[in-house]
Amino acid sequence: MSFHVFLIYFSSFSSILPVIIGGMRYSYVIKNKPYKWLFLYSVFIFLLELVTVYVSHYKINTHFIINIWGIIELIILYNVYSFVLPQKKKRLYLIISIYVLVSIGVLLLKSTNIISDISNSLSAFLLTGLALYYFLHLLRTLESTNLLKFPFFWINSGILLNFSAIFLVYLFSHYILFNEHTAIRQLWDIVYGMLIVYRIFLAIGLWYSKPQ
Amino acid sequence: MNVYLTVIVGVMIVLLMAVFIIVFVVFYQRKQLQQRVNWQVIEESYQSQLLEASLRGQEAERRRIADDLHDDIGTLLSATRLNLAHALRSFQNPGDAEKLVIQSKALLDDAISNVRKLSQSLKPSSLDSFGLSAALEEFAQKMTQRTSVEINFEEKSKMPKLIPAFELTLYRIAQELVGNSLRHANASRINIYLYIQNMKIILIVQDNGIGFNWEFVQQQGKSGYGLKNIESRLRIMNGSFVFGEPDGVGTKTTIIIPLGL
Repeated sequence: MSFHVFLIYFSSFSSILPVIIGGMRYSYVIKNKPYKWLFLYSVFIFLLELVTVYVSHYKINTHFIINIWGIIELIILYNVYSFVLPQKKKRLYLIISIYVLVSIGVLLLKSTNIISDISNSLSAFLLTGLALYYFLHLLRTLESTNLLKFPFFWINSGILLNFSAIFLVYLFSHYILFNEHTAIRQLWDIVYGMLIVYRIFLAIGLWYSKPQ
Repeated sequence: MNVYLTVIVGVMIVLLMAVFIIVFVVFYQRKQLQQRVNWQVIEESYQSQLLEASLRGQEAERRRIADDLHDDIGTLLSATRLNLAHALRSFQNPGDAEKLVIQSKALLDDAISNVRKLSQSLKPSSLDSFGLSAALEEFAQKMTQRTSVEINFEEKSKMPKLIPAFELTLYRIAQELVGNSLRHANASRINIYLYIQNMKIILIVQDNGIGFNWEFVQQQGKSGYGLKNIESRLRIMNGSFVFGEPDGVGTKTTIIIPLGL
């Protein structure tokens, strides 16, 4: 098994980590809207990874799943942020609506069988912006006395690291795929690596959802 | 391979920036929390200083009342008692008895007068009956009679009837400021102004004395209990005060209290 294949499987099965931790903290997670949504989101990711692994086993193109999941993921995470960021709901929903319209338009115009660079990089860009804005909000409000034990700090850090890194990968994915296609595998390794980091951070966040 | 390498380097730079932001948030937040704790400590220490000043003020007032009672009224009553005892023994000599009774009456008059003065200094009756302006007017007149300093009061705009606690606080502040000018300023004239401006009560006490550098006093931490007492009273009323030296001469203290209490 090559390193690339190992990373794909490791990344796929790392999605079980937040599900297990969320399950362990279920009694706390269920009482809190953002964490409840994040737990459901983790379950979704896990199921999606299972489907992707199963479908790819039969050599079926899974890019359409990634494209559609990119839109759903942004909607879920924006919804989660709408619980933790006060007074910004209208603006958040407006951004989501514009993004969804643009993404669907792009997907309809282009093929769904290749990864949509515009839709996914736009999604990564918006989520990076939101993560940065949340950090600003944290510094302004001093919500927590110990950030390292504050659940949403870890979740937000995971979002920032993952989506800021994959933004560039998605942005240039088409160019590299069609011009330097031998290098695309290394680029996807970055995405898988960041997904592992993201899921670990998500799990840490859900672990700290127990009130300290 | 150029674009591929550029993307790899770009991703690394973005990741480094993201890590830097996360670390920065953690450290900056800790620093801010530490600052907040420090501010709380300073605020608590300041509050306790204000409370101490207020208690000291009360203690000084009680001591003054006790001294007045003991030295003036107590002495007068003791003398009266002694006179009456002599008068009792002098009934065989009606002339002496009459003289002693007259003396006793005079002593009792003095005692009554002193009790009135004491009561007046605790809470002037004019404050309840005629309001703050009348009380300050009376205060200015009495202080002018008692001291060699010319004290004037001017009501610059018609004052409405305020709640008693409010009026008493302003009266006490005026008393304290005039007292400060008399004690420390070496002034020959003190003016008290009272008016309403933009829904705020303004009380100004201005003297032509040697002046007072409030910033220097604050920096040296030498702010007296009287001033802390004023500050403590003003805090309750959500008010503030400003010190200044009009034309470089004397001291002008402006007390500002928002109406609507």
